[in-house]
Amino acid sequence: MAKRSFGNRLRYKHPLPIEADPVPSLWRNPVQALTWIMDWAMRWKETRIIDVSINQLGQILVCDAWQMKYLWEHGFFGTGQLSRSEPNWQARTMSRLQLEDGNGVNLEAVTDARRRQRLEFKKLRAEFEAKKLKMRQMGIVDEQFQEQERVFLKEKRDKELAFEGDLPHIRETDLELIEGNTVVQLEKLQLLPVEAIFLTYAIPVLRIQLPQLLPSLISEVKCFQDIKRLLEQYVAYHHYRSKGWCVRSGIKFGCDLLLYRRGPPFQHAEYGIMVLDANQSNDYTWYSSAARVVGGAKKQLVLCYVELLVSEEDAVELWNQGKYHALFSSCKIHELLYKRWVAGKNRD
Amino acid sequence: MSDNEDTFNDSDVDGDELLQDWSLATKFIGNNKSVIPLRGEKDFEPDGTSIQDSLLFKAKKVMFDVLRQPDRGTIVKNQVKAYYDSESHTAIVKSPKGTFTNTIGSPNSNGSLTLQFHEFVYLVERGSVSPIVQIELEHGEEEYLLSLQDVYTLFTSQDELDKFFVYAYLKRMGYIVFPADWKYGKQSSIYDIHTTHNAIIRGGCVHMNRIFNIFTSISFSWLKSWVKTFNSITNFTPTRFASTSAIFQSINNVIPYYIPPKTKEQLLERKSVCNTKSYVSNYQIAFDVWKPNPNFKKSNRYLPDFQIVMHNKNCQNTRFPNLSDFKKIFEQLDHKFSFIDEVDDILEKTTKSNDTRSKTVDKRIDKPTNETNNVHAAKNSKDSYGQSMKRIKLGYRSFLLAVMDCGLVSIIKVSEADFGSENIWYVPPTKQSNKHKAKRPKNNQRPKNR
Repeated sequence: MAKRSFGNRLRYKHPLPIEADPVPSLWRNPVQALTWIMDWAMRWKETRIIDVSINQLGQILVCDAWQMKYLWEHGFFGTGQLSRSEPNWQARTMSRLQLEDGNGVNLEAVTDARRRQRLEFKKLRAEFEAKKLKMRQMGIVDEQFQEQERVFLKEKRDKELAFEGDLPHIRETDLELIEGNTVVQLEKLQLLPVEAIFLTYAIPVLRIQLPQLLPSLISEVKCFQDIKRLLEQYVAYHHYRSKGWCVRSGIKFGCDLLLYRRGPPFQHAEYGIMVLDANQSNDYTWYSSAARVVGGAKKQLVLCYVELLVSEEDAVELWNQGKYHALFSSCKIHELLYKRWVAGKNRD
Repeated sequence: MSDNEDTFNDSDVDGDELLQDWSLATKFIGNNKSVIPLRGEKDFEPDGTSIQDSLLFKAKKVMFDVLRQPDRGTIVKNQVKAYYDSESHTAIVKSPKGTFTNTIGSPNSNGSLTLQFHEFVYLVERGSVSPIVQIELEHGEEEYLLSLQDVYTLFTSQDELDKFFVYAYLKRMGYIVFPADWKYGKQSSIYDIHTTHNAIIRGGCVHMNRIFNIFTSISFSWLKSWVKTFNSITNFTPTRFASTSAIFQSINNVIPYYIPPKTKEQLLERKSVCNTKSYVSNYQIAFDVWKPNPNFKKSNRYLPDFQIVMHNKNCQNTRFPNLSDFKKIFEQLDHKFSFIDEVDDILEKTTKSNDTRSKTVDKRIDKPTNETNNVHAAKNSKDSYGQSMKRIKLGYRSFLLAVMDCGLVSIIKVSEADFGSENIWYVPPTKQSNKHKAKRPKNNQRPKNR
């Protein structure tokens, strides 16, 4: 499968959008080492390399193709507006229109092919079942046939996914997309508000400062309720990112955040995070629904409580004064694992 | 690091929809030649032949044979009388007999057995005791046999009824259940071990340790964070980092997080702090629960395996616990914490493996190669990554919350977790070690269907 390949390892080598470079040996390369140190001390290297724009709808967008790719490959930030998550609409369209050789395997194609194969498998199995039934009705019990069937179906199931080239299916409107021998880039990368704050405040790679970014997310801050949700979400997001988890939106599984060990191409998310305020108490149905949905996708539900260590007024004050670091540090994280307990499975 | 996926395999898949396989129980009825194949439900769909019918008949027969077995259930002859006492809302068995006495009831000095009300109802439902009420009439006392319906009317509150549901459910599932505030006999406590004879010595050690820890932690954390403190004083934020870890470190300690107690010492410390606070909680531990064990002695109970807190979803004046409620519950807990054994095990294992490793090193002292060292280092780092993941997954202190909804029970396990203390970031291989690491993926390229 395309997941977990060695290529991915190289492609997603850096877990964050700033690449570390080790200090060169002072003995072997004294000049380079000194430049490195000077660079470090004088802060010559610019880390804010990503242009970001905020449209009228309040969407935070990255438009440049290289920058989109960079943010995705360095920690899986943002979502392609025309894709499932990785911004690969252009590549997908090009391979659909056969404008390049189809070795750019994308995950959507993998899923699609797998679904088709599974359908085929089910059809075959149904055929076998029908044949078996007929034999049974005639009173024949053929062990050899059944064994044959089992082996055959197993082979089918184990078979490695092979990609058959699809016949190009070109619509009239596709012609408008083609420009020379490429496809016009229509896709933009959209960042979640928490991702944008993280990439501005913690890992400064966006060419924007918090005082410019935040007003576009929340226009006017009068009371704590205005900033509460965003603050809690960001604090939780920063917490997990800073421990090394790859954090993405949990909307697909009915929770706030999803935690991946390294990222979507490597493995399934392991934890579904619900961010709650410390005094929050919902009806039991709320917890049980969340746990059922998250558990149904083989993830563990985590209740992540955010406790405010200062008063609400002080928090608003800190926000309005732009003391974001102090504000974020005055939120404390408490985590609880929430799991259904089945009496029949815990006896020994 | 082979994506560290196989390091911690989760086998805990929700499997409560499993079919009951009665053929497993045939050994109790002495019929060992059960022939029923364990397959899916589809085997019993009608297909116009008699094969399915005969399979179904066989399966049914096994089920009924098991259920018909006379050893199960109670024999009327063995039934004993339980006298309900309305004043104390309990029942008394004057001459107790039967295996149920091992795990039910509080013995009195005169040989009788006092049943708490939920135990009484449970035994009546099972048919193990006959419910009797004694009524004083002019010409003396008379015994009346109550019906099951009569017994149900004796419940005094919704709370009591809820507790009964949970008690009866767990009992039927085979667990040993006693109320958490049960006074009879002795029950060990996790905090006992430290408050016995050598408490003073241990306490002294703890204090010494603490003082020592303060010094080491100050100097150590200072050493570790001097760059940070320097940066924060001079308002310097570096834009260049020597390693990926350094980038993570630079954002790591912004958000404070709660660290649950992880060792016996920390539990004890926490306990002594909380004793002085002494607050009131709306949530009390209702039951101590033990896994089934024939050697269980109710007069001398070891640490319970689980503790249960009740919550009625429909009750007007209660709500689902919030964070401070949860914290108060965690402070009350006193049962077998699996993470404590875990820690001990790990310590034991590491000391053992260290011994063996040093021995093997001694043997091979003439040819120590770089390669083996590297492999060891890689293995260790992988192990510690897996251990981190395991610790996160298992969590620390935990309890069971039984949620009631009109007589239906749903039980959830709530555990303290600590993501904050485990840094699991991926460190890309540097150029020097590239040669070594680039080799490894070859072995792991085996595709896996997920």
